[in-house]
Amino acid sequence: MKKLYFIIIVITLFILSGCWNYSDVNKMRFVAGVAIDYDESKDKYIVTSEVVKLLEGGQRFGSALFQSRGETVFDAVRDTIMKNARKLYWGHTKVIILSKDVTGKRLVPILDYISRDGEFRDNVWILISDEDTANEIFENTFENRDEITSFHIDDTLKNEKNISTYHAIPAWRFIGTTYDKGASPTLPMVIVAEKDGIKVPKVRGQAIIKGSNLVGTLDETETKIYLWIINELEGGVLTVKTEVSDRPIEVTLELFANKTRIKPIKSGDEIVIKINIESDFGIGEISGEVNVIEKKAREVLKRDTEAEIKKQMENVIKKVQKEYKSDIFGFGIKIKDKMPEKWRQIEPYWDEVFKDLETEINVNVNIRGSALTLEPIKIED
Amino acid sequence: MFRIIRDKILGKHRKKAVVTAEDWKLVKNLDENIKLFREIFNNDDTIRFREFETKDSSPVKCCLVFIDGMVNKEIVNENIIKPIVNFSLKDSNINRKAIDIFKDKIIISSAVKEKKDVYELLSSCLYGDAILLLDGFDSALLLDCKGWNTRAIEEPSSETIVRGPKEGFNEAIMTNLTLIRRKIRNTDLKFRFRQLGTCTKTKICICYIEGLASQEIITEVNRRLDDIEIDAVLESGYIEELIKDSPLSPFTTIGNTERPDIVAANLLEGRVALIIDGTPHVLTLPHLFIEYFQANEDYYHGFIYASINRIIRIFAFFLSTSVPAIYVALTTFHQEMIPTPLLLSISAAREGVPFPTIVEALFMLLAFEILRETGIRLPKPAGSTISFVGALILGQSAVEARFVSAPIVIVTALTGISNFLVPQMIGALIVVRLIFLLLSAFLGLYGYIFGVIGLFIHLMSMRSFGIPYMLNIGSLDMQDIKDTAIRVPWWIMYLRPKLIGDNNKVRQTNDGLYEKR
Repeated sequence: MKKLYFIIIVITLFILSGCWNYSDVNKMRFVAGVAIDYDESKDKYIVTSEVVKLLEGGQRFGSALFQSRGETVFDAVRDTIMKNARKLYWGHTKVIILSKDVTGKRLVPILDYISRDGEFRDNVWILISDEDTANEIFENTFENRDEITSFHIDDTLKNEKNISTYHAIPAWRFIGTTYDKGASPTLPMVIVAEKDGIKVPKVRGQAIIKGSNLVGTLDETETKIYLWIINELEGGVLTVKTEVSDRPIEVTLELFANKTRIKPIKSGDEIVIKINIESDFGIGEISGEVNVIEKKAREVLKRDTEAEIKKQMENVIKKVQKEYKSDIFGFGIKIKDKMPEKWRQIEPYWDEVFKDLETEINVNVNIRGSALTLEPIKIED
Repeated sequence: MFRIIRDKILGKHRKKAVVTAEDWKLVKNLDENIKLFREIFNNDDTIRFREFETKDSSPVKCCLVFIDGMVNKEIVNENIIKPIVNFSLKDSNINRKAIDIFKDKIIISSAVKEKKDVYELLSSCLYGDAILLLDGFDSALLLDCKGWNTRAIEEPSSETIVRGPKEGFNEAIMTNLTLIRRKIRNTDLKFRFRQLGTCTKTKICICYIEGLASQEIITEVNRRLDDIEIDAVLESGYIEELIKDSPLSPFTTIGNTERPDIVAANLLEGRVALIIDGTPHVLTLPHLFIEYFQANEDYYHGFIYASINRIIRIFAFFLSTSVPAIYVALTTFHQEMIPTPLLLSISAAREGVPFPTIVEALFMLLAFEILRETGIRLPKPAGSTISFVGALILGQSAVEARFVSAPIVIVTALTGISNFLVPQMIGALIVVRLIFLLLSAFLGLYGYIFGVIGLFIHLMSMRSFGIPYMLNIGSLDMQDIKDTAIRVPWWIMYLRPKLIGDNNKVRQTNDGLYEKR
């Protein structure tokens, strides 16, 4: 009897558990990216999937687009499978592009589908199309479909560190931030641009989402400052206009390292957000014959750089506070961490509080080096 | 269980009346004795009866019985027949029995024995000794004059090395014993003979170092050998299969080698060697799992190089058992675990291939095994044809014709090559690989992990002559792992392996077993 039980247990181990979904790779189609639009007139979602396709010759990959409509996203996806005849595989989907009108109530079911579905990765990138519709991004780029737009966007987003004009947000973080009361999520925006006669997708700027509604956008320079404040900036260049010995000069500085600390402090009854920025720069380019590396000039350069950064930051913070009224910097989370008592009081009115929140920005710039040459190049007449 | 089955089968076939051995006896008459031997060797034309007599006027008649081809004719002529024919008993004036005079004074041979038992005489005669019958005696002299041809001592083709002694065993047991003795010049090195095979009467030698080898293991070996009932022992594999632990396991619990240096090293660690006449493959026991990965060269090269090689061998074991299984699991169940570009190229390579991945994998592995087996079986001149056909047809044309996909060819090749890094284990590897592959085809990585767990439970539960098969694998003690995945330098290997060499633990010492004497 004991033996019988043992055998039954072993058999159930095999039958009732494990992976059952045997399917060969060539029997499935890999979806590289999805664009989701909303058809106002018919009240339907339009799902455009970019599917990887082997090009003629069997050596390179291109893509094919499939569009389908449905009451819900899931419904539309089912429809795509029917059109494809093969199983669609979402495990390697890199990007989800949303059109601007797929926000608010229309956004929630999409997020639900992404996080609920077993095949979608949690780190799929979510982007907002800055064109009229989302499917334009697929349809109007690489028009002979010999490149995969989604993979192109994926590569761009992974290179954020070197470009810093957008902030890539994976689905898990976006969904996580949406839940959070003390912060508003942002999403990078993508447009169709032209490069060497080929239309390519270009990611630039950041869209600000508040309560799943699109409330505003940041342009490229604002996005960089935004990244600076939230301590996500890892590189990039900054051009500073300065004046050394009464001669105006433009110096391009290269950011080596940056550390931003946001700290809420109490001043009387009010909360002041203290932003301490510690940046290491190297001199990348000097446009002029003035020696800025010499000690005095360096002091001037340092002072001017700090002022420049501070000015830009204040502008961005003010714009976000006044125009968009959404806490994309996560100040609320910081207050919640540091002053939980205070947070409980202000939480219900956080939007109002945020609007008039005072900030104090301290910038400390270190100029670490001047690359390979000490002297500026002087042209003798 | 197997004993019951065996008895059932044997019960039907065993003849009730065993042939009763005839009561052969020598008498004091030479002619009668010759007649007896002629009767025994009836219908055997290789047997020679050479009759001659001494120089005396009333000579002693003798007859030398031997088998043509088994004896050294020069010894027979020069050292046996010539002295006897030239000898005169009367001249020597010795008052002793003629047979003693023959034994002590006339015959020039390193081993002369006086025997009465016909069976003993016969078995020695069949092994190349000569029987000298004398008129008037009911006993005979057994003269050692073995002289058959053996293969020279060559480098074993199954275990080639770069550095180290190149000599290997051959088929003659005495040559093999001398090869071992030459490595360990010590009186504690013991050789105990016994005989196995009711028909072949094969000589078997149990070899060990007294004071080092565990007495229990020696007793156990003898006990198991006692239990063997078999008509013939033509190779050490017979013995291995008959006495090994876990008889159904694909893994072997008894090692075999063709190299005397390996046998000597094993003996010095306290192991026991079984040398079987007629085969160059010597058995060593107990045999642990890790020994699959140890090569004799590891101990001759520098320890760093040796350790690297050993880790590579262990890695090859992993590759050889798991690559097809993991490939099938990943491509058919866990596509999300493959990096996107790789997945795309796999799917492109599989485009148009008619079979599912698992069928492809099984087919390619079968093809590889066929190639491997033909490579061994084939006469040498045809060998290159096979590798050519195998590489070209299976490798290239099959892919071009889209019968199989290129990745599976790579997987098979990798598996196959890794196979040969642990050559002793090939048989076990095939079984393990197939089980892993089928499990992962049904259940994905989940099934593969099932297989791995199963394999480890199996290995961990095995023993070889009382020693745990996976001894030291889980240990953290430096002295335990000194000779496992890495080979530490000789100056750290103070101790002999645990449990096997427990009788005299210390390997490197000034007052050790051998220095005292």
